[in-house]
Amino acid sequence: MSDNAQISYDYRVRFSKHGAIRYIGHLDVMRYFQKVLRRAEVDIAYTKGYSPHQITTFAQPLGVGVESDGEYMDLKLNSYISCSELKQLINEYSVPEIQAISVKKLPEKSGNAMASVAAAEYYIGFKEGRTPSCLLENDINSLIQKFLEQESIILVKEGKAGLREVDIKERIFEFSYDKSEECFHAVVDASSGYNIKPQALIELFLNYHNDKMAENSLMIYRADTYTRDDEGKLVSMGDIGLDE
Amino acid sequence: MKNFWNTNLALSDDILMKIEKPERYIGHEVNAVYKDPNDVRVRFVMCFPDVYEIGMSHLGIQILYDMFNTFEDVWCERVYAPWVDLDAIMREKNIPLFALESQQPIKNMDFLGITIQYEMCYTNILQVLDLSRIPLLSKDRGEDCPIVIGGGPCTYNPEPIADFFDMFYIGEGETKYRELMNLYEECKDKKLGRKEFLRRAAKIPGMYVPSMYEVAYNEDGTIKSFTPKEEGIPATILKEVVKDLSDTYYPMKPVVPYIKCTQDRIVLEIMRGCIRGCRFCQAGELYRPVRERDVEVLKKYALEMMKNTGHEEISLSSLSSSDYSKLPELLDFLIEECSKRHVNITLPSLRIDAFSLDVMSKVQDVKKTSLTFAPEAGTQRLRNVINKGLTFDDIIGGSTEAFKGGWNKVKLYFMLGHPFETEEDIRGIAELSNEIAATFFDVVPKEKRVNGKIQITVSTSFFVPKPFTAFQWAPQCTKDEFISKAYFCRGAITEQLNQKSIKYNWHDADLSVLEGVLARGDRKIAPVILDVYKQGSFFESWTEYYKHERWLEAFERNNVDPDFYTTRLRPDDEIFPWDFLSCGVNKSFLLNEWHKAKREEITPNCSQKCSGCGGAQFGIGICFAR
Ligand code: SF4
Repeated sequence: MSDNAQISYDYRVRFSKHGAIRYIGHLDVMRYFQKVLRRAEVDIAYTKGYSPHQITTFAQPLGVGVESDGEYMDLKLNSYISCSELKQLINEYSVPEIQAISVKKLPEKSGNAMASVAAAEYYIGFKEGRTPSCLLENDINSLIQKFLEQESIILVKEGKAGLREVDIKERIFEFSYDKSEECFHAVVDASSGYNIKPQALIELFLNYHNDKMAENSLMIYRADTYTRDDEGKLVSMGDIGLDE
Repeated sequence: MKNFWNTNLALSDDILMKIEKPERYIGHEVNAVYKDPNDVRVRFVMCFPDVYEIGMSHLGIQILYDMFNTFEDVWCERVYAPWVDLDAIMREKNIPLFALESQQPIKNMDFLGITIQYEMCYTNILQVLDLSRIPLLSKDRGEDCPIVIGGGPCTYNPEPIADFFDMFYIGEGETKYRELMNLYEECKDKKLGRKEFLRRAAKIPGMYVPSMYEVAYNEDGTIKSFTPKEEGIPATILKEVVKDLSDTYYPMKPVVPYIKCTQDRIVLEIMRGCIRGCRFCQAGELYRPVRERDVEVLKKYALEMMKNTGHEEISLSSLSSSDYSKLPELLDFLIEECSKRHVNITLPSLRIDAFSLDVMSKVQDVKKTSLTFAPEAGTQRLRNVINKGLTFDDIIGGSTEAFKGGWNKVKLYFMLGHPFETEEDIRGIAELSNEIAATFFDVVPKEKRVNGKIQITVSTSFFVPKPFTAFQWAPQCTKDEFISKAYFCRGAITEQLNQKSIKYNWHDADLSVLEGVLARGDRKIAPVILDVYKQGSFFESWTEYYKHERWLEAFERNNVDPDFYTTRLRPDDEIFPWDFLSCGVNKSFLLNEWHKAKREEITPNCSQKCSGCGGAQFGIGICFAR
C-alpha cells in the first residue's frame, strides 16, 4: 500500500481480564497492548509527529481488582486483516489472563470506543464472611425493590470541579440479586461523566437500609460494556461492526 | 463467581488492594518462565535486592534467568525486595517472602542467588533473608535453608557481607553454574548435606566459600594473613570470564513487565570490558579484557528481541560504546530496522565527535537532548593523574560541532576528591564550564539562539576509592573535605563570566563516606551492617530511607572506626581484604599505576598499546587482537 492512500481499517476488540492480571492498572493494560500489537506485528496505524504512537482507544477503564469479560479496545490498521485472524494473532501474543473474545470490523463512522460507552454490566458478590447483616436477614430482592422505589437516588461524585450530586435513579438500568450465584446483577450508566462504580451502587443501597460494608468486601466482575443503537436501545459494544 | 475469583497468589486480595503497585508481586509477565516443580531437580531463585522496577531493569539477572531456565533440571524464578508498605504487612502478618513465578516461599528453594550491584543495598540483602525466614548469618543456617550465593560487582570485595552468604560466585555467571548445579544434584542424591556441598563447591574455579577461609589481623587492624582452612581449597580465586561473547547465553525472550520499569526497553550488550583504564574506575579493571560481540549476532538478537518483547525502545549497553569497532554498521542497521517498526533507539553516552553527532541527530530531537561529557576532572594535569583520556580540545571541539548542529544543552560530570587534587583543579571545573558557554556564544549567532541561551549542568560526585583500582591505596576525603570542595567549586562557578548559564549539582557526602567504608571494608564491618538493619534500615539507596545517625551509632557500638577504612593512606605493601581474589589484573600493575598517578604520567589504552596488566592470562579479547 502506498503512503498517500489514506485508507485505514477500524477494528473493535472485546477482551477479558482475569486472575492475577486484575491487579494491573488501566494505564499498564494500555501499555501492555501496545507491546502485544508490536509482537504480533499487526499493521497498526501510528500518529504523525516526532513521537508517533499507535492509534488505539480504550473504553471505560476497569478498576484495579475487578475481573472482566467486557473490555473494549478500538484499533486503526493500515491494511485489511480478517477479524478471525486478528483475534488469533492477539491471543497468540497475549497472556492467558487477557484474551480477545471477539473482534469486529467497524463501519466508517462508529465513534470512538470511549465516547460511545453508555452502560456496563456487573456481577457483584460479597467475599466470604463479609456479607452485611441486612442481606443475611432479609429477602434481598425486596430490599432492592424498596431502594429503587425512592424518588431520587443521590450519588455524590468527585469531579474535576469538586463534589457534585447526581440523581442516578434513571441511570440504574437493572439491579437484582441472583440467589443461585449469590451475587448482585447490575447494569448501570458508564458513560464518561456519569460512570457509576459498582462499589458506589452497593454502598448507596446498603446506606439506604442503614447498613454498611467492611473494607474491600466486594468481588466484582464486569460482564460487558454497552453502547446505544440508533433507537437508543442498549446493545453490547461487541455487537457493533461486522465479523468480516 | 467464586469459581474464578480465587487466584493462587501468595498475597491475599486484601493485601494486594491495599499496597502500592501490586503488579510488583504477582508474576505472570510475558516471557516469565513457568515449570512444573515435579519436573525439575533444582529450584533457584534469583534476587535483585531492590524494588521490582529497578531489579527488573538489570541485564545480568535477565541473562542468568534465561540461562538457568535452558537447563531442563532447573527452574529459576525471581524475587525483589518488597517495598516498605508490603514489608510492614509481611512482618505483621507473618507472611514469608515468595518467588514471583511459583508464589512459593523462598525458604523451600535450593538456591537463593543475590546480585549485588551497589553497596547501599547491603541492608536490603538482610531484609530479603529476614522476610524469607533464612537466618541472617551463614553459620546459623541448617539443612532446611537454601544455599545463599552472591554475585555481581560488589563481590570483588565480599568481606563486609561475607558472614551473610554461604558462597560467592566471582566473575561472569555464564560459565560455571552448570558445574555447580551438577555438584549440587550429586550432593543431594548422596545426602551429603550443605557443609559438604560447600566444601566441594569451594574447589570449583571462581567459587568463594567464606567459611573455608581464616583471616588473621595485625595489631593495627590490617590483615596479617588470609588462608584456606583446608588442603585443596585454593588460596586465590580467579574470576570467571566468558571466552566467546558471541557464543553464549543471551536473553532473547526477556521478561516484559506490566509496570513501567527503569529500563523499559531492549538492552543489547555489545561488548564487555573497557580499553581505557581510568585509574578511579573499578568496572574498567573488573571486566578486562575487552571482548566484543559479533555485529551479525547483535543484529540477529536485536530483531529477535523486538519480536519477542514488543518494546518500543532499544538501547546499547557497554562501558564505552564508542570503542565498539563496528558501531557505525550496527547503528545504521538499527536505525533502519527500528524506524520500520516505530522503535526508538536510546544511545548510550558516546564520545562526542562528527560521527556520534550525526547519529544522535538521526535518532533524537536535538533540541530536547543534552550533550554529555564526563571529563571527571577540571584540569589536564588532574586528568593525567586519573588517566582520563579526554582533552580540552576534545571537549571544546565536540561542543563547537554540536552547537553548530543545534544542541544547546550540555551535561558535565566531574568527581571531587581525586588523589592529588588541588584548588586549581577544582577551579578548572568552573573554567572549563565557562569556556563551553563562551564557545556557544562564539559559534551560534544571536538570532539562532533558542531562547538566547545555553544550559550547562555541572554535576560532581565525591570520589570513593574502590578495590582493584590504582587508587585502592588512596586516602578518601573526609566528609568536611568533600563539602568544602563542593562549596569551593560552587564559588568558582559563580565567579565565571557565563555563570548564569551554568547550573551546579553535587551529591550527598554522608553516603559517599559510608560507601567508602563498605567498599574497602573487611569482615569486621558485618556486625555494623547487621546492627543498622536491626535498627530498621533498608532501601538505603532511596535517600528518604537513609538514616546516617544509625550508621554512626552502629560504628560506635561495634567499636569500628570508619576512618580506618576511608581516610587512611595505605602503604604499598598492605594486604587488602580482597587480595585473595583476582580479576586478572595484577596487584603489581595497579601499584605501578598508583605511582604513575603521583607522577602525573598517563598509560596508553589497550588498543594503543598493551601495558601488560595481567588480563592477557585469559587468552582472549583485545590482548590478542593485534
Ligand atoms: S593485558 Fe594488555 S591488552 Fe590485555 S587488558 Fe591488560 S593492558 Fe589491555
